[in-house]
Amino acid sequence: MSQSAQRRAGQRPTIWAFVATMSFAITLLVVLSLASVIGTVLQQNLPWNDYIIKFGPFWFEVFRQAELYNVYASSWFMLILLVLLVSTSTCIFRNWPAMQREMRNWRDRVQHRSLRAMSHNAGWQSELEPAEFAETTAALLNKRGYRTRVKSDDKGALVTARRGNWNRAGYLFTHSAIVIICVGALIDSTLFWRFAELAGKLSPETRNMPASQVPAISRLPLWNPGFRGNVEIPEGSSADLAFVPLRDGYLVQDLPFRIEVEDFRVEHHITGQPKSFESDLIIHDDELDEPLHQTIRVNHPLVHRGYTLYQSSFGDGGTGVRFTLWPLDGAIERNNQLDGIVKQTIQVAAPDGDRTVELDDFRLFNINAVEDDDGEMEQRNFGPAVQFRVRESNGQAIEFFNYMAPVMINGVSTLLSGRRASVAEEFEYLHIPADRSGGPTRMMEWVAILQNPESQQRIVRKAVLGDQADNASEEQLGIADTMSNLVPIFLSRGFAGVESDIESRVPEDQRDTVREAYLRLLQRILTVSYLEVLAIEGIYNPMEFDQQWLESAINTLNGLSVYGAPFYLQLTEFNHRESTGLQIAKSPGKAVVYFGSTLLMIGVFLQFYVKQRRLWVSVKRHDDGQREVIFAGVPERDPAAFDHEFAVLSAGLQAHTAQPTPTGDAT
Amino acid sequence: MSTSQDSLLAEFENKPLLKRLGPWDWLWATAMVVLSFNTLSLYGAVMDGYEIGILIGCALGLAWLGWAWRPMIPLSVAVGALSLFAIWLYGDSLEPAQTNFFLKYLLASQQAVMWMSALYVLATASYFFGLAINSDFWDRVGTAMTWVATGFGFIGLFVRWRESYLVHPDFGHIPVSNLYEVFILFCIITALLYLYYEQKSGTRRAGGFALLVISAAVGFILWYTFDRGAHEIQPLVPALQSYWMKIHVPANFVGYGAFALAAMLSVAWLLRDRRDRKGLPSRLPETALLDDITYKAIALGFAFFTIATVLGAMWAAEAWGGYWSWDPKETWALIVWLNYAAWLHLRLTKGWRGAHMAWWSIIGLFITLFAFLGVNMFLSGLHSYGEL
Repeated sequence: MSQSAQRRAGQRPTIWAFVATMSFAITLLVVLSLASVIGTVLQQNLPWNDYIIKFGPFWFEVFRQAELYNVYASSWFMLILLVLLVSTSTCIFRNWPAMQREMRNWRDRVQHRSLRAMSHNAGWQSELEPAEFAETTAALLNKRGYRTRVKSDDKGALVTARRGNWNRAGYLFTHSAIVIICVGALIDSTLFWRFAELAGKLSPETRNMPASQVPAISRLPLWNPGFRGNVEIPEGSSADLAFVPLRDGYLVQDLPFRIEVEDFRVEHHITGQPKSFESDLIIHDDELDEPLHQTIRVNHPLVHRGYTLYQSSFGDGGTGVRFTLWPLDGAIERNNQLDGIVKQTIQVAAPDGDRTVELDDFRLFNINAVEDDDGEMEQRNFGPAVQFRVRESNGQAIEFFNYMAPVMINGVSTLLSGRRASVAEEFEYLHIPADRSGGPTRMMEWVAILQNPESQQRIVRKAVLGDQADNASEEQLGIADTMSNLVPIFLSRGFAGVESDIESRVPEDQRDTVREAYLRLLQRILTVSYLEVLAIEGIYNPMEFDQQWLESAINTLNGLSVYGAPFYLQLTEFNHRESTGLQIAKSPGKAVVYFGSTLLMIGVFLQFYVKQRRLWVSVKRHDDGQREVIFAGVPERDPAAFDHEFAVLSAGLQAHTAQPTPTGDAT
Repeated sequence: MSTSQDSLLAEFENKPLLKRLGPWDWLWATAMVVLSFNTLSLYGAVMDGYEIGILIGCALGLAWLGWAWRPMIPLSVAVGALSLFAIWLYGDSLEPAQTNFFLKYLLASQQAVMWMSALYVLATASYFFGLAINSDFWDRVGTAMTWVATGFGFIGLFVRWRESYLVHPDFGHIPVSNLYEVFILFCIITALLYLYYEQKSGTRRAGGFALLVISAAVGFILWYTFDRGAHEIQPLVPALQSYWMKIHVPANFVGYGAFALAAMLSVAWLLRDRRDRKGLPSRLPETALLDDITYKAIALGFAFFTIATVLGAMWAAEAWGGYWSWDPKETWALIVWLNYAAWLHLRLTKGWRGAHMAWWSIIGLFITLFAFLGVNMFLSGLHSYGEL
């Protein structure tokens, strides 16, 4: 394209000439590529807090100023696109008129002799008269897809042949396609909001509040032409708006209709993977005679009045849950039943400060990869679970993930309770061996017995003194009581706590002996207390199950020392209510983009597969009666293919028009 | 040279494609139409309008492909017959895979893929051996093995398609849904493109280079199979349950395959262009020919990549609610597209040729590779179907 710009000699180089050059366009393509890479390397549109944690306050601010958190909507990225749009348009405007002229121009004023100067030329003697020669040649060329024009006089004739005008149309198609696609994308972009923001008429809301309270400056009007937002609607509820994320906040887009969600369903494959996500929607719209019922699922959206409703996510819509609260430090009241609703909170009173239980989520299905009996990994559904945070009054919180039903782990029926101190961590699971009825009652009874000061003293005495505990002397009892510290230490700090207690009190050379004695005693305390728990259950002859249970439960006790909450919440009942996450989009630029894309696809094929050729065949009758033919052409784009085509045509035309004994070399 | 003069003349007298067709060509086309009607009568009830459109499009496309490039006909017949044979052997259960001789050793998808893998690697060796000892025989062996391997690759995919329904009716889907399956697709498409240009150019001497990238893909398939068990058939996630997958993915892989072929021919170009043109490099095809095929491959790849990206955008609009979300995969597809757009501009408009263009086409393969594989490995996003 630069050549054509330079070709027009008289013109002075302008900025437009530069913008339309190929080098500039190529540079733009490369710049656009590099700019695009940034947004794939740095994860986009995360909450700003995540970026602060990742980069620190200084770099966070630098990157924020550079608009790196949403590269593709940044002003500089828009600028690149705009420049590309201008460059491509300029390129079209500068080149297309010349191309059109070229398409119309037959170039049939070339001189016989000047054809010899062309890069491809061949000559031979013809036996035909010029007019006849021209007619035959034109017919042959027509058959091969060329359009021809013949100019002849009694001295000679010139056949001008050309094909592939559609190739130039391809140029027009592809390049205008880029412009059209960019325009369509700009229509759908947030560019207009940017102007509204600059004019002070729009500002994203960053606070968490009910949609109805969001101020007008953060609301998009009904006539807003395009947006892409989300709304989460619980089953049985409805909404007439969407939240449109913008930087670190959101805008509220009002809708001209109300969407009611009747039901949301997840279907599962036999392996547990989700098979389909479906929502039964009812659209209430004054413009409809009656509400519109439709089910949407992934890949099958609903289009209503130019708004498209997509199934995009799902979540909890306020499941009702019932817990049994099992105290872990003895100070909280037992058998406390708690009722709550997911996304709400429950207060739990505790002597060392009240706790707030923030119910975050409920999940009916939890598919996990586990080893089966043969050691192979398999997907298994662990059943319902509830996710919540226990927040202390000082604001610190630990997050829990409690399963409702026990799961078989290494042959032991186990209740799982995951805990983590921050979202960045994975859940660490506390394994609570289930009792015969599948619940945590035995474990919790045991913990209670160990924690109760009275029973603690009784058990330690029994463990130290054995059968003589009942008629032991005061002195013996005193010795036993000195050991009673061991239990609280173990309960609050686990085996590690016992070890550090030994280290702090016992000289190094005696530690091994003491440790052995302590652990033996601890073992006895645990066994004695466990037998008491079994006795409460009415079991006097422990069976294999009970033996196995004890082994697992000792680990659980050890794990409880770092559990982080003074109680265990056992999920006992729930009333599942889901919510569906809809994405709602209105995209007036879409048709424009699709039109451009279609042009692009057609244009690319035209440019690659329609060959553009221009050939001349001239015949001249010399005074000596010889009829000299010159066949010539210049390759335009694809020299290799042109070489071949020229050779074929040259051979063919010669065979049809040359004198029986061809003279000279043919190619 | 009179022979070439004759062939030029013959080409001049050649009629356009449609007028050149003989009775066998029409038989072929008729067979395609009949088979697609047969398919429609069998499965029409469970196909939606788009799927019926795709079926008809495939039948017409295959008919045309057979006309334009004859070897497609025997390949299709062999693949079709053996695939149907395997499907017939299966019946309604997967059981015969363990007991039936043909399935167990030849035609069950996993077996066919193993045959494909072995033959591609052997073909690579054969081509290079032919190049090393300057033997046409070994080149021809390479070509033959490449054809058979490609046949096995297609059989593997077709039979796998059926197997996915046998595992569980709900699992059934066209096998272009994860990295294992698309790598097979990549191998056979790249091989077919190479075989096409091999036949058109009449030289087999670049075969080893083309097959080298296929062998690399085979290496990946084998690692992925034995280390990760990737060959196991999994159900489709809801986002992929769409007719779009049937056209978006194959179109993309024509692009990837063509770009890979172009890059490998560029490697051959660079070797051939070395100053000391003695010994092995001198037996490679002329640089002009390599350059020409490289250009053609990139043009074809670009055209199909454009279609694939546009179709992908249309699918995204339906599945994710926007035709363009700047998802890493989308973004990298755009980068690949821009890269080859720049390459083609310089080649077509500025007439650039030579070493820098060859190097660029090789770099292009790495960009493509990142878009195809790297994005799945290193970046997260909506396209996370093929994680390693």
